[in-house]
Amino acid sequence: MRKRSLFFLTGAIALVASLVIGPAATADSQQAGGTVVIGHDQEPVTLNFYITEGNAYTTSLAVNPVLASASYYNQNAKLTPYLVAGAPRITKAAPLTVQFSYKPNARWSDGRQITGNDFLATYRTIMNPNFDITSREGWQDIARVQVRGKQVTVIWKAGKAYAAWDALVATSPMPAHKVAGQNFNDLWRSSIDVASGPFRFVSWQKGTQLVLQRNDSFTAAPKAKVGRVVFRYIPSTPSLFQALQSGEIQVTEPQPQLQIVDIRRNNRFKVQSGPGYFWEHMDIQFGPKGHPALKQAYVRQAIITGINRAQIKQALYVSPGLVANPKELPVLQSHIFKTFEQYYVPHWRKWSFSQAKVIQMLTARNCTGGPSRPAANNNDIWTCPNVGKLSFRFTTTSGNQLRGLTFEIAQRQLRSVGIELLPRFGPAGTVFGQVLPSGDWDIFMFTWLGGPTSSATSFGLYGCGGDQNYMNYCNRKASNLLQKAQFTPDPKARAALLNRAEAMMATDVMSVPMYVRPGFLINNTNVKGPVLNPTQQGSTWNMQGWTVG
Amino acid sequence: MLTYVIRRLLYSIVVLFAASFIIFVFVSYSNDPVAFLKMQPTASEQTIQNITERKHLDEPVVVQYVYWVKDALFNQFGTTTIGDRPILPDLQRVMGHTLQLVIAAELLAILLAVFIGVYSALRQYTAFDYSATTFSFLGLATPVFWLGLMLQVLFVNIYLWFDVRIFYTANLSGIDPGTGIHFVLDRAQHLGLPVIVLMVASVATYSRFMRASMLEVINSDYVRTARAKGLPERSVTMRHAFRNALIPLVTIIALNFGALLGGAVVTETVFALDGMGLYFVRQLELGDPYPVMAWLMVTATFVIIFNLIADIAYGYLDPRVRYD
Amino acid sequence: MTERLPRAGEIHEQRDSVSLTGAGTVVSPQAQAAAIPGGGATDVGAALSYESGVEAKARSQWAYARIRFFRHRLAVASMVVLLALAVVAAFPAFFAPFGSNDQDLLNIAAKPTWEHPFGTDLLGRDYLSRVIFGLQVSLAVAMLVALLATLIGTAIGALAGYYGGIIDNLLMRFTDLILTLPGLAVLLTAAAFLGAESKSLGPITISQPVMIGLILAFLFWTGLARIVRGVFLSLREKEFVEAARASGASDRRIIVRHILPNCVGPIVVTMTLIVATAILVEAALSFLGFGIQPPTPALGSLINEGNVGGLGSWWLVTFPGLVIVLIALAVNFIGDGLRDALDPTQRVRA
Repeated sequence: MRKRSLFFLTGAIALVASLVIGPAATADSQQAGGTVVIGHDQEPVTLNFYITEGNAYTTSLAVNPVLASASYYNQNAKLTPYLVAGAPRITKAAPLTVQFSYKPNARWSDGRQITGNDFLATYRTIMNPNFDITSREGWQDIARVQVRGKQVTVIWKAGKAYAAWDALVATSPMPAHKVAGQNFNDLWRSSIDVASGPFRFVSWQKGTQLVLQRNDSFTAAPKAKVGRVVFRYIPSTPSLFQALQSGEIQVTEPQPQLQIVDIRRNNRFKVQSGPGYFWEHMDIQFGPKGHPALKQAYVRQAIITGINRAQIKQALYVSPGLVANPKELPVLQSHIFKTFEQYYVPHWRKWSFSQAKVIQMLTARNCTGGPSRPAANNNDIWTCPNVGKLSFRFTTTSGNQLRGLTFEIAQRQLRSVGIELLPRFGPAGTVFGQVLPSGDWDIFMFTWLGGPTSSATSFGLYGCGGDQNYMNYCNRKASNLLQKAQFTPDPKARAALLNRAEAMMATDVMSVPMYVRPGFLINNTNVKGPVLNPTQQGSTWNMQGWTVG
Repeated sequence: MLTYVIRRLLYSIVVLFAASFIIFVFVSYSNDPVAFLKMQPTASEQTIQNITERKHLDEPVVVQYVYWVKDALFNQFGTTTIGDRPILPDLQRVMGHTLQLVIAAELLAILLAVFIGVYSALRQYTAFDYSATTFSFLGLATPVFWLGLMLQVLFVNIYLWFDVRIFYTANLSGIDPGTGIHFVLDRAQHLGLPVIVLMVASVATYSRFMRASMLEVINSDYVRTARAKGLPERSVTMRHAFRNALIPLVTIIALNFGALLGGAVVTETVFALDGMGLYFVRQLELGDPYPVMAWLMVTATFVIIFNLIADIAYGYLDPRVRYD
Repeated sequence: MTERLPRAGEIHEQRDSVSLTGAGTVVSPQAQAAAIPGGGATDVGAALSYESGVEAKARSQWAYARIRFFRHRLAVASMVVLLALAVVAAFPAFFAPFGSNDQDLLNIAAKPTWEHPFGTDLLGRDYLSRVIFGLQVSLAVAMLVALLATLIGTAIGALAGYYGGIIDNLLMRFTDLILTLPGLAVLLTAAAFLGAESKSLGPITISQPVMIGLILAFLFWTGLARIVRGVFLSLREKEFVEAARASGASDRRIIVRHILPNCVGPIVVTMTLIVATAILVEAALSFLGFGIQPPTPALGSLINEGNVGGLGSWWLVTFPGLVIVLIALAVNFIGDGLRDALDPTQRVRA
């Protein structure tokens, strides 16, 4: 008896002790205006969204309402001034000179004014080589920053006019008085003690929740209506949906999946869906380690003609009812511009789906061994002269259901006409870290996560010797156009250059554009105000206008 | 006895080093933690260079291992590759949470399992015995994540129909958990479903073990002797049979316990509990060897210590066993 | 771990349950302690039957084991079920109404009907067929794991137990190495970095499910190694081993022909348990994204893929889940029956 009760007593003490060691409770009193709970499947790692670790969508979702952008992208992807008085304007074309002013009533939550010095501090911090800044693109080509009170003038180096200058000056200004002399890598690891936006930071219980509260000293724009916002982190998406159903969270942005259809039918919730700046595509390897057949234009043309992209998009998003309106999700017929962008031209539409044409194309080139007509259960694979069997390694990340389904449909479609795709799935770390840069792959499918400015920086992806051109694709003429576009600030002129390059790329068939991934935003009907935003600005872009109850 | 313990500990340290080397080489060789950074079209070369230098990523794997050992022993397991964050505070936090979950589940499971096992043994081959066996097997046969999701759905629907919230579906605490008794209750409501899920497998295993152990003891000679001496049945059962039947169960529990710290991965993922399992999966996805190694070393140490405790306890409780 | 080991070759059935004579004849003690399988019992049986005129069949140890097993009704039923599943898994093309990859993109996620008794999945494929093919993959991988783990574990345990000394020490420290690291964690790490795609070693291509199987097997052999080692340690000094050695038998012969048969009980029981565990672990791995990759169907990954549908498409999760539960239950019951049958030290009600 004694042994047993001793055993249980020890266990009970251990249990109570671990409860005490556990995180301290954050008793935050209810604010007037109510509380909104947002559920997300990924948690930030740090709150500093300028450095690499913080370069995640989930971080800016939580931090942008606190350290507000000077201008933000609204639901139509238009830059809207927020902390600046009026849109920044170009005062001189060459060298590119841009001028803007912070609002007279834009100030930090500790009382100090937001001035040009803050932008200068931002510039200096970003250019400091000791800090792990994610991207210095555009900043490194700045020649000079002139500051006069609230007014800022940015001058770029001659010949290096940064095309996405408007996004650059829209960056959230850093608080000069907090950043000075600090090791920026260590700053804002777990808390932020100032705010320039409609909310201020309250607490972050790592692993559970992050809490923001209305910033009462915010004057640059209307104050927030909701009193408190809590971000809850639930990594398993089915559990996220359960929490939504049970009222534990009220707003969420889920990955596309079938459960959304059930939620759409439930009138307790409002579901918004729409295209965004993430696009799925299949890159083709031109380098020495790729399949030799891929260097032949007719083979690439056969591949794109043999994939029914409309059918894939239909099967994955439209038929299940994920996307309310099929017109929201047309097939992507361009790499550089997205379907909803102003300068989008469907250059790739000429490659329409035709199984008969594939067989015709390959037979005309004296390929043998393939089917004489397309058949769903075909097993004959073509062999083409001097390049071998049309059997390609298809690499993509494992564990992503939609990608897996996309592959299976495409594999079936191509197999029906005698082209084989062999799956080579792997975890993201290996696949992106080793396989992609090494060039040891044939066809690689993944998603580029872009934004409104990514069209301007297409050289890195498609130009000869571009930093992220893992396909080893090189078309000199197109590459020159892309490089020139990078330094053309005028959007119309730039778009003309980019579209000319795209036309060439479409003829070369260097990569198959699939579709733009739709974004989803679900909110409980007792929260009013959330609107889907296609850019990386995210669902919290208008959080100050939300109301609860 | 003392020499035995010391010898075991020394062996364990050698084993730990060997295991750490194999795993480190494995994790580092097949994975690049800076990969997702290099994937960004606009990533800064300078930053990539900084990180590579800081973590010696361009040196051969063996050299990197030596740096890791230095960090592990003298620098509290060091910092993460991207972002240079100290690892130990995070590890301590998640360990506390997992311990709460696992200790609660084990205690309740033991109580239930002992009761079921003993009763099954005393009433062998009755309806209770058969149904207990069937439920045990069912419990062992159900995939954990599926059970977790079904429970979530059940309790969400209970809330929607009756407007009574018995258990929460996700996270460790509510938004305003309060202090003292409110905090404890709130935590219990959140841990309720995960504890049930974890208990199922444990109760199944332990109750069958208890039953077998109890059966063996009941049919043994000394119990027969006690009965023959004329002792009342209840006294025979409780004071003689039961205590001796418990001994092997204690060692099983202790052995299991070491592995529990790292074992609730699926439960923690389904219920969004900020614990060791979830931490490990996340770090594995990021491909960062430092936190992965730290995690493995901590759990391995736990297993070694508990195995040692189990063997010593067994030697202490069962006088027939001797170590030399 | 306290594992109950069957003692070598002893038949513990109470002599009074072999009711040859109703008159309570006491059988001689020498006949009771039959150390050599089959030997003593035959003589006693023959002698008694001659005496009483009753036909007494003398059975070998395995026969008694078989009798005890068949008394266990649940185990027998489970065997039938498992056999049926194995037949279906061996000839999936015969039993499945459709192919495993016949997409029908106009009929996505359809409810169960007569034409599709298990409904269709996210690409319109017949789910019954998917589950049958998935059953094949899961069972095959699980059996591969069990076989490999048993071979490795038995070999290591036998060598360690028989030779003792340094070899024992080394092998046991190696076992400790594997045991020390938490299973699921090492599994995840290995599956994440090794098991995600098929590897080719020269002309042989190891498919991805087989990779997962190899990784699992590498972690499952430790329990069996310890058990087998325990048996070998305790039997090493027994007389029959000495006798065999004296008559000039080689080490290998002693190990394989004399001591190993005594381990068959726990080996078979453990093997059946490994099959069940392997299927469940594969399901868990798939849930976390590291298991058998699509498009190869496997029960665990089918559940994982179907999980995203929620209750609206319950059939995607329920049917593979039921199959998993069925297999695990059946295997556990069989294991239970086997343990009862082969471990004569457990008193069974006569």
